[in-house]
Amino acid sequence: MNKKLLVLSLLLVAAVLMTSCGSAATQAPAVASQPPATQAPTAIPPTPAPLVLKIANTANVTTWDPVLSFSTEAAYMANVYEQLLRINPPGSAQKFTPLLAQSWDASADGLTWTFHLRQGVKFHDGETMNAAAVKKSIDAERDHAGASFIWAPVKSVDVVDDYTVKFTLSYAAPLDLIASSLYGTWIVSPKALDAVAANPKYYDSGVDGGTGPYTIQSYTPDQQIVFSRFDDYWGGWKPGQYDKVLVNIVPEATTQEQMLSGGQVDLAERIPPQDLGNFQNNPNFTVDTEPSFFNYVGFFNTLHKPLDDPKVRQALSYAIPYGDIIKIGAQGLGTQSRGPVPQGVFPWSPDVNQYTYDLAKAKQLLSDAGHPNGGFSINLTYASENDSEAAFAPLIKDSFSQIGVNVTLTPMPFNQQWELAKGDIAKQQDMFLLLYWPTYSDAGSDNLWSMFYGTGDKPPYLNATNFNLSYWKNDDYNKLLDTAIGEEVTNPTDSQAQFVKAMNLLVDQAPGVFFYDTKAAFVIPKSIAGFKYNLNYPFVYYFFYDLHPAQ
Amino acid sequence: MEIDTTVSVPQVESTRTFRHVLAVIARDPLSLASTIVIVLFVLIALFAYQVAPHPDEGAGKTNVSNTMLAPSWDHPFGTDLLGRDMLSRVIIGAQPALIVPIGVVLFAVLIGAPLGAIAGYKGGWVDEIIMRVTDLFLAFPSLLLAMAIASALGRGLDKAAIALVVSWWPWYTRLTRGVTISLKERYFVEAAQAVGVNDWVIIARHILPNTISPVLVQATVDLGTVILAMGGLAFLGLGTQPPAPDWGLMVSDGRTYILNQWWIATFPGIAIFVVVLAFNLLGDTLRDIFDPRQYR
Repeated sequence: MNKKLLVLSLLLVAAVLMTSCGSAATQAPAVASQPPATQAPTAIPPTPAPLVLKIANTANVTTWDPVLSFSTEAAYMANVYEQLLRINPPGSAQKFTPLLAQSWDASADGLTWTFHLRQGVKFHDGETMNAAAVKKSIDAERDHAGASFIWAPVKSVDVVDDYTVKFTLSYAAPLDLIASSLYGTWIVSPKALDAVAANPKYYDSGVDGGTGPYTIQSYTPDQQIVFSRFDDYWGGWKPGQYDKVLVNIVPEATTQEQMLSGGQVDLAERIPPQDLGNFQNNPNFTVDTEPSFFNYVGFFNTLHKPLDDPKVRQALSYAIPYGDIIKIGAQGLGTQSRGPVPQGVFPWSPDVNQYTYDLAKAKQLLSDAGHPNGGFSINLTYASENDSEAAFAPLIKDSFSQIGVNVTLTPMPFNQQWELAKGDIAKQQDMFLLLYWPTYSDAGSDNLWSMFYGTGDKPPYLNATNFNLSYWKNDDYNKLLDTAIGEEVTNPTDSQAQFVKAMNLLVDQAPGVFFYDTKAAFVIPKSIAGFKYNLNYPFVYYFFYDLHPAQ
Repeated sequence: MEIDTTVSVPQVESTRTFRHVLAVIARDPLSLASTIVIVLFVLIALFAYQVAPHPDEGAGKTNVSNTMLAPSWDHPFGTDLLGRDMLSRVIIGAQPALIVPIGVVLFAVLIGAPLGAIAGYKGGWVDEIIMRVTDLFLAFPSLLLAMAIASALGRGLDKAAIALVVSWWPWYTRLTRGVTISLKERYFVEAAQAVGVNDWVIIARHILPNTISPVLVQATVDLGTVILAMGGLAFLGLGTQPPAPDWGLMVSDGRTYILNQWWIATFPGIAIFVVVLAFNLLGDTLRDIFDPRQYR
């Protein structure tokens, strides 16, 4: 008995040592997520073997319903469905790529938008894409999409003729930006819309009603999705594009890394940032770091003393070690934020101020505010599932302790953190760390409004999104933002100026700490060409249609 | 130590004396080694702040300039993402990871075993009530129940410990009850009943001591599970609160770095592994000693 245990334990030790020392990791583990047998024999064309692309992705499918979709499945939706138009990355010659709309125009007052649709587009189920289908989709999305709020400015959608749709707005808004959102904008086959209205489980097996280049062939929940190309795609097919795309759903970044270096997949969506060096030194891969859509914000609870005093909040903003936080939390993949708008997203501006890391100034401000040696405590909550927040939160604690402010770190699952923040004011956190991104590429009416626009007459001043977790209400800021958002279409120059004013007010009043904008890192094998990063669609990672084997 | 060690008195020595236990353990190198390991770890845990080379870093102070150093003479276990000395983290992490689970299992046994003995011995409605209550607890997976209780109580190591006690005691009740039912039919119990010994005395004197060996085995096995459950609760933010260290927490923190910075998860993992194995081996030996059927 004892001997058996001993042998067993020795084996275990050996196993632990082997896994931990195998840093070279040239051999992938026996995960063997090879596709099930269903995939190969079904339709063998007489021509050469189909070109298959294998991808590891963490993104789960919470729903296949394109109208309800408001989560990670966006990574796949964008390959199966299309919007009227797609927004191009910053710096492109054209702001938009026309997809299902060929052209569009807005009235001078920004209240009427007309879209001229592309002709000859078929849905995957054979239906024709026309004005009626667009109206039906948008109406469904205005009614019950996961992100239906983005359509709030729209009063009505009307069919002008077979290929012309007119949107009437109740107030001026950049409808082109809204229509290019990744959520709640897909144009869906009327047949599929009817089917899901009759049977809410219609999409569960992995059927689709899109116009995009790929169609869902099979779906095994939490394991694998097989996409095959839609032969009648309006954009046409060139030789060399992939016939099939196999997506393995792999939740652990470390596993994805091993699958990629072991050759089990061609592309991985997430590589642990600290391991990017492994690929930078490997001649078979290119590592591409790009600005992204995300930033980290820390909300001060302005309802709690002494955080109600702007001087105290400024002092704490000076006591944040921004450089170390980027080095540790983001492994260097980040840049210090200028306000809550991530770099590259409208209305980001280099004219917005930043705090430096300056403990002397922080101490001075604290004593000006009547707290000469700190002497108060702060309860800081963060999402325990967010590795970056878990990594940099202790740095805030140590830095604040140097100015006499004691921090209690409270990690909790995001949902609990969220509930606490919306609950009883006395029990709320004093500081809330949040990773934020705009729903569509307009951080003016999203980030700036959602996170800092206080509404209502009495605390906690929560607005419709509930994301203003500083519970801060400032009439000057609200006024600036109202003007800026109202002028976005009619007077873009002044709108930008008002946004900058609003952001500088925000930085000065410091209801929150603006930590850093993240950068995305992509590890692309040299054997695959065509990868184009689009900052506006961070959750898509890969547009399959763009990719092809390198020659 | 004692004076009479040289004098061999010809008498039937009880097998349950402390000296006898020590003698048996000393004879078997494996159980000797595991005992030494456990004693060593407990001592380290008790005097953690005296033993650790960097007690402030062990307790959570960050030192960013030392981030992710590989094991070296200065840092035998390397440093973690925040530049903290891993050796100090592991030593100070022994407190929540080792001492608290020992306490949890001890309390679970102290609550569970007597209840099980009473239920098994008394039978009837007493048995029904006690066992239905335990069924209620056993209907949920222990970790899930502990999570629910811990989140109801709030955050903190103490609350996590209470939650674990609450979800672990019914296992000992059920175990003890089963053993008691078979013991009840034995002659020594019937003899005690026949001379009119009080029920409570029978339970305390004759039943409970005879349930020790299965309870002990169960307890040693559970220690490992409780250590892991503790880590699980800490991961969810319900147990040890960062930046305080905890083995389970360190393993889960280190798992994303396993390929290049293997030392972050490995050393706390080895600590858990060694301690759990030592408890298992010792439990094995103790069972041999306490088993009334095995007089050596």
